[in-house]
Amino acid sequence: MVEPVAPSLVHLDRTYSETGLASRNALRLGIGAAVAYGPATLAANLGTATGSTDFGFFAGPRATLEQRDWSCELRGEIPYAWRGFRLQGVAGLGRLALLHHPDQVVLPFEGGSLAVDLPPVHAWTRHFAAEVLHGFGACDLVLRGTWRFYGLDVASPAGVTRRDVCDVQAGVAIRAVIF
Amino acid sequence: MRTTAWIATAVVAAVTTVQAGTFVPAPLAPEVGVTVLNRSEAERLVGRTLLNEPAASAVYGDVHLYNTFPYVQARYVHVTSDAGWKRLLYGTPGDAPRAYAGTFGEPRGLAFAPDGRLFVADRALGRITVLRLRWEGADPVLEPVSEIDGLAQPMDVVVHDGGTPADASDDRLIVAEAGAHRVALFDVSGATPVRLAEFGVRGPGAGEFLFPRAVAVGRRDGRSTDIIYVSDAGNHRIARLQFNGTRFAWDGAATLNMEASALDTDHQGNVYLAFRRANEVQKMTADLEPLASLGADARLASPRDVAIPFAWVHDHRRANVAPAWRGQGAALVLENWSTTTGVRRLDLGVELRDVHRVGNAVACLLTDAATIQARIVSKSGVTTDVNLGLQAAGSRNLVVPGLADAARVTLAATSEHDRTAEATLDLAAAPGATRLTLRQNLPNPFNPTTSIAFDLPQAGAARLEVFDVQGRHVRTLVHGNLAAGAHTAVWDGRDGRKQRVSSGVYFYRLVHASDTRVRKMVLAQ
Repeated sequence: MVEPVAPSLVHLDRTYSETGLASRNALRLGIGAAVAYGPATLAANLGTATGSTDFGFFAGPRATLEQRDWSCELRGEIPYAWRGFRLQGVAGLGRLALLHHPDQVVLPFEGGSLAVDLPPVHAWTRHFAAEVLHGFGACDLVLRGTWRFYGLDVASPAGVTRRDVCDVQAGVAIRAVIF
Repeated sequence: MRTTAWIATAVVAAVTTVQAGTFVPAPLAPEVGVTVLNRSEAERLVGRTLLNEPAASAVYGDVHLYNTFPYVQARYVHVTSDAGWKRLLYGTPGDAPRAYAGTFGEPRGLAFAPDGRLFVADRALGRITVLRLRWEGADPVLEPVSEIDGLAQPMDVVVHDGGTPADASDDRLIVAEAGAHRVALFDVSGATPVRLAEFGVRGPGAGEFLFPRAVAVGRRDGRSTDIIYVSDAGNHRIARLQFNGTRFAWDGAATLNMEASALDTDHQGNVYLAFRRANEVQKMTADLEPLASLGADARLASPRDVAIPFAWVHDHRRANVAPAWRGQGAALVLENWSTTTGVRRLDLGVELRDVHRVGNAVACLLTDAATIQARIVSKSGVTTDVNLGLQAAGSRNLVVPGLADAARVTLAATSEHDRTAEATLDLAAAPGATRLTLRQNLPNPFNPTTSIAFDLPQAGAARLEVFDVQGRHVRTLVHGNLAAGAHTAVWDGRDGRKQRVSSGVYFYRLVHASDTRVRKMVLAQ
């Protein structure tokens, strides 16, 4: 089973409001593949979501913050259907990378500019999702809501603290059975 | 006996210039699609008109740099006084603004102290209201602290940080008291402001003002210096005062064509003036040498304020680095509030102007501090690159090695805001002067001598004279028949009786055929 394109809307955790992102909502594009065995499915996903940030500057550089992720998940279908609609529960693990493009910015202050490196950040993630499926032909149309949890080390004037972060996604996908 | 000191030179040069802008119009809030915040945009964004009669703006920021995510955090609060609706409007860029109503009669000038206190000049109530900026998470909050009463139509305020932005114990507040034709000084280091001194009486002369409308502090590397600028509105001039922390002394004035509505200074001490009636914003050096202006081309609409944002920069990446008080590479201009005009952002760029050769140097007007690279192409075709280092804004006389043998010199200026300008001086092509040109004197300010270069389009009588700010004749430098082309005169800072003249602003005027050119220079003692 493949998932050629899976667009979703990601609502980023409140933590991201401190990054100067223009919006905490971002479009995520993903692809996936899965192997089904009876009511259970083992799946793998790749995805990317981007947002523009000015770091909160009044007049300064801009960059793109990208969330690039991969994950594996186990899906279990509830043995009940209503007018062709089925429900599926999902749990999974993955890896998330936060990347800035470009990975360095020069801040244009009077009295000399300052270069700041923006190296990537990596985090292990776990996620849970609920899916509503409806079949047509050899395909399933999927509506999916996902809660993704991970920890981030976040700097503030008080120091670096570990924060529990939760992003919420809502999306659609078409899954096609190819074998 | 008339003393005339002049040197005729035969420099012929053609200049081609690739000019960036000194003021580069930029979108105010691109993340919400706002180029200029005006009445239409306000109604689109928040469904309200927001302002009635904006008078002044001030911007205060905090920037944190980290080795850890999110690496850079910046937050700014932008405050605008609304004289019509008697309130302040404030907020962070891109977010819905808040109103601070307080008890205002006619809030006008605004000034942030580096410690986050906001001073508001209330013209109608004769009062300075002192507020403090506090952050509740990402939201700014203004809270009342104290008031200073008994002032005569205060139009503007500025905070002098005593040269130590991080230390509020030497902070002073300077108020333009238009109704009393003076500036007043307050010690604001403690909880209760204390009046220390005042300076000025009504009049047109030295030490006198007529409705002083705006004040600004001189700066060097972001810190306040011992210079105070006052827009002497009724006398159409900008006055320079020497300030020692407890009292003022007159330090000259530069005549303007009209009253300046507002003043501010950037990190390096360059002075920005808003001319409401001329629809113009101008930039000058700390010595009041004109650098550039933005007017008709930008279609500014009655600019009543120009403000340079300042921010504390906390670099947490390195231990033991003290926070720095830094200016932003942008200016906010407050225009007439209408459906098309309002709050406008201008990024601060650099230009190389008036590039010409003076002996073994290349003279130019640099409109912002910049690092200069020179590329010299010799007559035999050999190219040499030379770094001429960081140069301050103003008229510069750049000694370029190998100029005598050069066919072409290209100057590239890169400002601290990473903006660039380039100008090429073609010494081989070299057509003669086609129009009467009077160049900025070099050096400027000067002591004891300065050179004044000018080009005559044709041979004939020419007269170059110096006048003081009152229009009194000081000295004739050139008077006679000269050949067409480039000439240079030298002034030694003495009048016709060979007496040294006092420091201050002087004008020099070139008359040739039926044409006249006038420029300004500053003699510093």
